[in-house]
Amino acid sequence: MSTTAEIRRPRDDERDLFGLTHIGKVRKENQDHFLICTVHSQVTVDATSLPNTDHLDLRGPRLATIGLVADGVGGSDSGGDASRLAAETVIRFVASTLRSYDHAGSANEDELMQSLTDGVLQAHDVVRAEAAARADTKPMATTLTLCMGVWPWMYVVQVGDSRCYYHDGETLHQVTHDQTIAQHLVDAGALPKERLSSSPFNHVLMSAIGGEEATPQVSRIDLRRGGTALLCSDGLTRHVTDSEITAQIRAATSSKSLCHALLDLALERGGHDNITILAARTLLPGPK
Amino acid sequence: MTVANMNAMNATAEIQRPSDEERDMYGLTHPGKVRKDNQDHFLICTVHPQVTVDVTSLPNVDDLPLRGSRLATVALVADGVGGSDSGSDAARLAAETVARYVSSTLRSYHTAGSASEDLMMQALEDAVLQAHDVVRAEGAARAEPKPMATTLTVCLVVWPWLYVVQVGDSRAYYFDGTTLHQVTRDQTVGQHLVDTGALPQERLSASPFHSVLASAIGGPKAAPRVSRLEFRRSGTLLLCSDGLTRHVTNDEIAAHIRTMTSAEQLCHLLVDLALERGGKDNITVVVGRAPKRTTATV
Repeated sequence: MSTTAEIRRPRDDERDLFGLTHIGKVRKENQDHFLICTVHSQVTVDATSLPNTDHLDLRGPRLATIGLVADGVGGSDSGGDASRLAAETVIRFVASTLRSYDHAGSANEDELMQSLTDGVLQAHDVVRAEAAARADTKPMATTLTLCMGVWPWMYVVQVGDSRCYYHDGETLHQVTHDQTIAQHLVDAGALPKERLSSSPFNHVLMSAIGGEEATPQVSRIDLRRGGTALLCSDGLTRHVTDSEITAQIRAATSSKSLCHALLDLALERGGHDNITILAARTLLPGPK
Repeated sequence: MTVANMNAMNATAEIQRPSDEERDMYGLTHPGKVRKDNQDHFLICTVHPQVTVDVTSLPNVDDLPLRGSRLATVALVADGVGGSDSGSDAARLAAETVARYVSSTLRSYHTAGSASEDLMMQALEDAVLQAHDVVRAEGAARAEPKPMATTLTVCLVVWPWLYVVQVGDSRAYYFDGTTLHQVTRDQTVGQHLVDTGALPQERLSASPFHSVLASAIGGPKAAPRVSRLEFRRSGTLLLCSDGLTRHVTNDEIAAHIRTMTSAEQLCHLLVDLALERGGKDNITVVVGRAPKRTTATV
C-alpha cells in the first residue's frame, strides 16, 4: 500500500534523468541512439498590446516524460541511420499527434496505447521507405523501445530487444520481453532457458523497425516515488546480469552515477557492442 | 447555433478542424482622438503541447518540429477604467493573469463539448476571478487608493466549441455566415435598467448610466458570465471595447464582416470608422476566423 507521499506527482526538478551512449570496445561505429524529453503545454502569443510578455511564465505543466532507445542493425551507416530515423519519427509523431495524455489511466487509455503503437509503426514505415530508396539494397533496421511516464503510470512500447526495467524501490521488474528468436524458442519450450545466452539466435531479432516484421508490444506499469526506470541496448545486458543491475540501482546516488557505473561494468567485461543506458529516477519527497 | 440550408457535404467541411495556418487572426488597439492614453489591452495566443529535449544522442533535434497540435486558441480584450495609469495597469494585469492561468492551470481541454464541460466553464470563471483578485490586491497595495478596474472578455476556442467569459461591457460577437449574434450582454447600469424595464431601450445610449459598469474586474463586484457556442468554418468572431460600439452599430459591423477580406483588413476598417466619427474612447478590435480555403476566385 502506497503512502500519499509515495504517489504524489513529482515536480520537474524532482526527476533525475540521465542518458549516455558508448561505442564499446569492438565495434567501429555507434549505431545506438537515445532521447530523453519532456512534453509540456505551452502558450505562444500570436498578437498582443501587452508591452512585454517575456516575464510571463508561458511554459505550462508537464504532460509526460519520454525516454527512448534505438539500437541500429546492419552494416556501414545503415544501422545508425535506421536508429536515428526511428527516433526522429517517433518523437515527431508524439509532438504532433499525441493528444490523449489526459486519458492515461482512464477507460480511454486504449487511445493513448494505440497512439504509441501508431507512432512506432510510422517509424517502421519511414525506415522501410528509406531503405527502399537507397541505391544499395542493404538491410536497414533498428530496435525501438520508448517509455512514456504520465504520472503515476509508465507506458512502454517495444520492438526488438532493447530493454526497459523498472525498480520499484524493492524489486527489479523487466518490463519488456526480448523479441529475439532465441527468446521465442525458450518461450515455446524448444530451448532450455540456461542455454539462451549461448544460442546463436540470442541476438537475432524476430521483430524489428524496418525489418520483415514489426510487432509493437505495449505495456503499462505503476510508478512510485523512489523508483528507477532503466532503458538499455543489449550492449549492456550481454555483459551485466539483472541482479547486478539491481545492486547498482540500490547503490546509486544519481541517474548519472548509475549510468556510468553500469557502462564501466560492460566495458570492463569486453564492451562487445554499442552500449546505451538511460536512467530516470523520481526522488522520494524530501522534508518541506 | 445552426446554419440552415446546408447540404451534408458543406456541413462536413464546415466543422472540419482548421490547421494553425488556416486561422486568420488579428488585433488592433488605438487611443482614439480624445483620450490621452490607451487603457485597453488585447491578447491572442495559442495553447499547444511542446516537446523539450532534455538529453539526446541525435545530431539535429533543432530541425524536428517539436511543437504539438493546438489545444486551444485564446483571445481577450480588457478595457481599463480609472484615471492616470491605474486603468491601463488593471487591464494589463488582468490580461497577464488570464494568460498565466491558461498556461499553468487550464487542462480540461478534452472535456470541451462533453457532459463534463462544466469543468471548462468553471475553469474560465476561475481564471477571470483570479484576475479580479490580482487587480484588487494591486489596487490595495498602492499608496494612493485610486479605483483600479477593467472589463475583461475572454474567448477560448477548443474546436468546434467557442467559450466566452465576460465581466463588464467589452463585447464578443459571432457572425455565423448569415447573422451577427452579440454573445455578451453589457454589464452596465444602463443595460440593467433596460432589462428591468426602468429605462426604454431607445433611451439607453443617451443615459448617463450607459457606460457605468455594474460588474468589473477589480471593482466592488465581478459577476463573470460564461457562454458556449459552436464555431463554424464560415463563422467570424469579433471582440471589441466600447470605443468601437459607441460609434459603430451592429448592422454596420455585420455589413463589414460580410465583405471582409482578412481579419487585419476588418480591424483597420472598423477602427478607422470609429475614428472618423470622433474616436471618443480607446478603440480595440480583435477578429478571428478560420475560413475554408477555396479554389474559386477571391
